[in-house]
Amino acid sequence: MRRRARESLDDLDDEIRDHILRETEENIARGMAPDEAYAAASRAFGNATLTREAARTVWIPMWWDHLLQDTCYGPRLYVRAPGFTIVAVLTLALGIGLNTAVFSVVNAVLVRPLAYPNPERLVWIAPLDDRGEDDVVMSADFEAWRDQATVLDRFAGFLSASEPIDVGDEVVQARVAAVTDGFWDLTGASFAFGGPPRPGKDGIVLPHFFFEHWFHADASIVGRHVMLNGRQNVITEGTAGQLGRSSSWWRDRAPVHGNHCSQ
Amino acid sequence: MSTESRIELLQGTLDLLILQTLRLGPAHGHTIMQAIKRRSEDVLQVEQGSLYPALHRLIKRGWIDFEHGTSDNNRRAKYYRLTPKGRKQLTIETSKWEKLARAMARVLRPI
Repeated sequence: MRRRARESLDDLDDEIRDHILRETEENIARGMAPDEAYAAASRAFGNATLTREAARTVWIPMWWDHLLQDTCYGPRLYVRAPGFTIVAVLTLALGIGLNTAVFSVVNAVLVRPLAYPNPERLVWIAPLDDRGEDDVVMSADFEAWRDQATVLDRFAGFLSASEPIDVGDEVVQARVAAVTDGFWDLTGASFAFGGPPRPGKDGIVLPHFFFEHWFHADASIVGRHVMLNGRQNVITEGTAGQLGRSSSWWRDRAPVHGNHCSQ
Repeated sequence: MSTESRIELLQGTLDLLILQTLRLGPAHGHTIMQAIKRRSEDVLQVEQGSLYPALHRLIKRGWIDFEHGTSDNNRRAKYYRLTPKGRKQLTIETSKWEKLARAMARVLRPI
């Protein structure tokens, strides 16, 4: 097709010239003076440049020409006015960056589903404090809701706090979440080995990062007792390798302790 | 012929006129234009500038082809000719046009 385009366009100039000459000759034959005949023929033909352009766009899409022109114009402008170019590029970069950032947040918060099983069925329940912010649920309330609610299948609660944990060589401060029985099931947590504490029993579940960082990924720690907030606790079962799809909240923070809201 | 009695070509009809003109045999651009003018008894006015883009469009579609030759007064010229595909297209376009013309005539008939 490109060869065909070249062949067709190559002698377009000659063709147009020839066309005008033929018209001129006819005009002369009709009795016009040569100059006048040529002028009339040119006039009758119209804008030759436009004709050439129109014939060209039959073969070569307009945007391709424009793209080539812009590509050449960019570097030329940079050489002539570097300041302008830099400002323009920075403006674009900032604009695109900002857009990307905003979209990332919107995507994570509004578009992407929560990283738990059946996210559309999850609801968050909390009483509000005086300032209108989420308050802690009392154990008695939680139990009453859990036992009496008819519109919700299951309940899970957690309470997180910063607590000292003895990792062997030292005691580190970690964010620890105390969770209720239903928590693991509800969040669809998966375990690299072991499993969650049995219902009604206390135990510690380590997030993968914490397990690797402080216990050197030593699987034999399962069943070992550690001091958590001054109390003996057993690392019952392994690590939560991945909690749902995105486990960053857990990975970065806390060992999960527990089985009951009241610790 | 006065300018008022000339009619500008409807969109898309130039292609049909070119194909029909080339049915008589190969011709160069100027001849095509003259033939259309003559055969329409000077009523149809081909914009000379739009003739060449139309020819290119038809080449691209494979309805016409071209070859170089020498014209009557020994000038090199480009001769356009109808391809078999173009001949087929001409039949389709002609019947389409006749249908349209008949329909227009029926609608515009005095009531």
